[in-house]
This record gives sequence, structure tokens and C-alpha cells, in this order.
Amino acid sequence: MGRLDGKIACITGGASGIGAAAARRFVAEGANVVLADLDVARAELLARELGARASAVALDVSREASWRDAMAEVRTRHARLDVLVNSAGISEPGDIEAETEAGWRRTQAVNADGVFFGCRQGLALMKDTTSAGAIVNVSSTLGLRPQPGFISYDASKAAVWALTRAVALHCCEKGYPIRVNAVHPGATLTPMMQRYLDAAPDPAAMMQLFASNHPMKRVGRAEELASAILFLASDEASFITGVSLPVDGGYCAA
Amino acid sequence: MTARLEGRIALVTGGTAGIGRATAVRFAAEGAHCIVTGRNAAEAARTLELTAGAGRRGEFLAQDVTSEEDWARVVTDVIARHGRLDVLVNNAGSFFVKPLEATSLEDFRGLWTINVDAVFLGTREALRVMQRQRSGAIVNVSSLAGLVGLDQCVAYCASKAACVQFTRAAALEAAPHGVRVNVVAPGPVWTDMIARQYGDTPETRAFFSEDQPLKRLGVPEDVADGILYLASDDARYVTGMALTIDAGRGAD
Repeated sequence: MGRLDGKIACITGGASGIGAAAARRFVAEGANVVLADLDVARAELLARELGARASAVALDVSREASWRDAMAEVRTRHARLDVLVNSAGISEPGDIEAETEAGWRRTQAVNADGVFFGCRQGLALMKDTTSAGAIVNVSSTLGLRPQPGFISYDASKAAVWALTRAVALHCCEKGYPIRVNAVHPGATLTPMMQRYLDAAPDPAAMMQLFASNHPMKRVGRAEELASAILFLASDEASFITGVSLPVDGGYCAA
Repeated sequence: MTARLEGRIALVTGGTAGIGRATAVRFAAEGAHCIVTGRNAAEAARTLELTAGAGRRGEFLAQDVTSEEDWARVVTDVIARHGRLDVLVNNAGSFFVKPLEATSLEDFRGLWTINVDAVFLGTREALRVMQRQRSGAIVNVSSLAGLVGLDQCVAYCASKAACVQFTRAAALEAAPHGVRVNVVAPGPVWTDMIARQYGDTPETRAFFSEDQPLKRLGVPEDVADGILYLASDDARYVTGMALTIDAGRGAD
């Protein structure tokens, strides 16, 4: 018996990284999954690999109109939505002095606006169609412990954490059967990290640096985030809402 | 799907009631062999009936968790018979409601002994074994009251905050050895321990359900599911974290 048997889930950024790992795990646990991604061709490729219980939809998380279209498509295909995973995100370096206005806005548009619109449009579909709903937002350890070289990312991920609690409480107040929680990945080996490694003069040294920042002395794997997202999305977490779950090899404990 | 704790040897303190019992039953259903410890053999027998029904009978060892000698004896016994210890759940705990002015030093120390000393002794003893194995998961049971203040519960709040901070620091020491240490922080969960203090009345039950954000009564099984996640390989990159299981209370 799967832990998400019969659930309808939508995963943003579902074509790669943590989103793709969550999609694989969700399908293995019995869910029907809609992979929502800006790169819809790549999402379709993964959906074909995952079989009949997976499909793809185009989504630009930074535009609310795109969210409306995507949620309408989910409603057409499945008539309801039980789980929304907001995993789409971008990361660009830049400290408070170096960051540009365009860079700041680009990061907020995807990471903060994307989760804001996602929670709003997701719950609009979920509130009338699910009996046990869950939204899982992918924040970051940097949303709890900022690193000065990633000022826009820090702020956007802290926004995700604030949105998570506020929407969780809103759903409680309104009596919607929707729980809202956040996972906080530490450095995780995904295409996002790979881009930093590829750009580094010494990728091995950079990997060592990422690893040494975490008490477990290694970076995380996308699958390890997927299992945390699965826990929060499943009915096993039915008494859990508005919480933060760092998956970070102990980073936030220090 | 394979069971999530297949073949694991798990020790659950305070396994004779409430969250400890629910955890042992959940673990047994996921394939673990549970060593349930506590002081009440009759209640332990009931737990073992339930674990047997869930799939693995497990066993009971009498233990005073505040005794250093008892910890050495229990862990030695587990290793002698099973060769390993994969999971420790430091669940045994105590609770009272009393105004600060009415709290005696004896009251305060009594609670500290069971809520803090026992976690220290258990974690230290288990870590010795788990370090040699280069694997293991320890889950401590704190409370939302270890993260936020609870009226007329100074001793409890202080002891449960100590449990959270103990967990974080222990996790840093355990990490290089492949051992994880985490803590759950249950919010308003209805157990016998709570019922004894507040009284099992319709009013108190209502406070524990309708007055909480999710508006339902929390039950020990809710906490057991969180403990299972932290004890299992699904959480293999998770350490030093406090998982609140609290109907949204902590977000408020």
C-alpha cells in the first residue's frame, strides 16, 4: 500500500532536481502526479518515464495567469487537487552591495511570488475538492540562516517560510482541510548546485566546501528531500501544519 | 513496499502508555523489534499484546530511566541478545501544572530528573553502541512547551527546552559517526499524562481540540508517525531538528 494512494498531486519545478525526485517518489507511493514546469518538454519526458499516473503541464510560477491555466488543467484532468508541492526556484549569487535590481526582482518573482501565487491558486482548487489536502513549500536553510553572498535568495526563502505559516493559519481559520508546511534543504546535489560546481575553478574544492558546512560532512540528495516532502504531504502528518522541516545534515542545529 | 523499520532493534522508554505505546505499535507494524521499557509491567504487557497484533511482539525490560546503572544494564542486555541497537526513543517523561510560587525545589528537580537526566543518560549510552555500529537514530520526545511558554508550567517548559538544546548539541557530536539525533515537540496531544493533570472533562477535551488551529484532538498516533519518520531511513539527512506536531499551534 502506498503512502499517497489515490492522491492527486501537482509539483512545480517537477522536471528537475528536488521536484523531479518528489515526483518519482510520489508516483511510487501511489499518487497521480502533474509535473508543472517552465520547461514543459522536459516535464513531459519525465512524465512518460513515470507512466500513466504522471502528466505534464506548462507553468510559469511567477505569473498568476499561468497558475490559473495550470490549475484549470489539473481540474480538467483529475477534477481535484490534494497535494501541491511548490518546488520551482532559482538561485543566483550576490551580496547586498553587488546584487542588481533586476537580479533581486528575478529571484523574488520566482521564489517568493511563485509560492504566493501557488498557495493562492492551489488552495482555490483544493478547498472545494480535497478532504485531506497538503501544500509543501520548498524553502531553504538560507530562509532560516541567511548567507550574505545570496541576499536575494535569503530574502525570498524567508518569504516562503513566512507565507507557509500565514497560509497554514489561514486554512485553519477558514476550516479548509489543507495543511501547509515547509522543508528547508541544505546544500543539495541538484542541477541548481551543479551549475555552481561547473562554474567553479575547482569543482571538487567547492563540493568539499559545501559538504564541510554541514555537520554530516556531505551534501544532501534530492531523494532525501523527496522523502521529507512525502512525509508532510501524507496523512501521517495530519496533525502537522505551519512547521519547518530542515533536511540539512544538521546545518540549522549548529 | 518494504516495511520502513524492517529488522531494526528499537528501544522505547516509557513504552507502557501514551506516545511510547503508540510508537512501539507503529514501529512493530513497520517491522521493528521493540524493547519497551518502563516501570509498570502490567501496562507493558498490554503494549506487547498490541505490538504482537501489529506484527512483532517485542519484549519488556523493567527500567528506571533516571538510573545510570539501569541504563547500562538495559543497553548491555539488548546488545547481548540482539547484537545491535538501531533506534532509541527517549520518550519517558513527566508533567505537572503548578504556579511558580508553589513549585518546590523538589518538584522542579523531580521533573528535571526524568525529563532531562534520562535523555542525557539514554543518549550517552546508546551513542556508545551506535558509534561502533556507525549507524543509529535517536529520537527524543520534548514538547511544544520546550519552544514556547506554557502557563503555570515553568518546570516542564524549562526541562523540555533543555531536551531540545541537548538534542541539537548531541546531533553535532553524533553526526561524524553516522548517528542522527532528533527531537519531536508535540503540542496539544491528548494522553493519560495530560488527562491526569487537567482532568478528563468535556471542557478540557474541547480545549485540546476546538481551541487549537486544526480543531481536532491530537492523539499519540499523530506523534508516533513523526517519530517513525525521524527514526527511519527516509530521514537519513535529517539531524538536530525539532519536529513540532502541534495542530498549527506553534505557527500562531
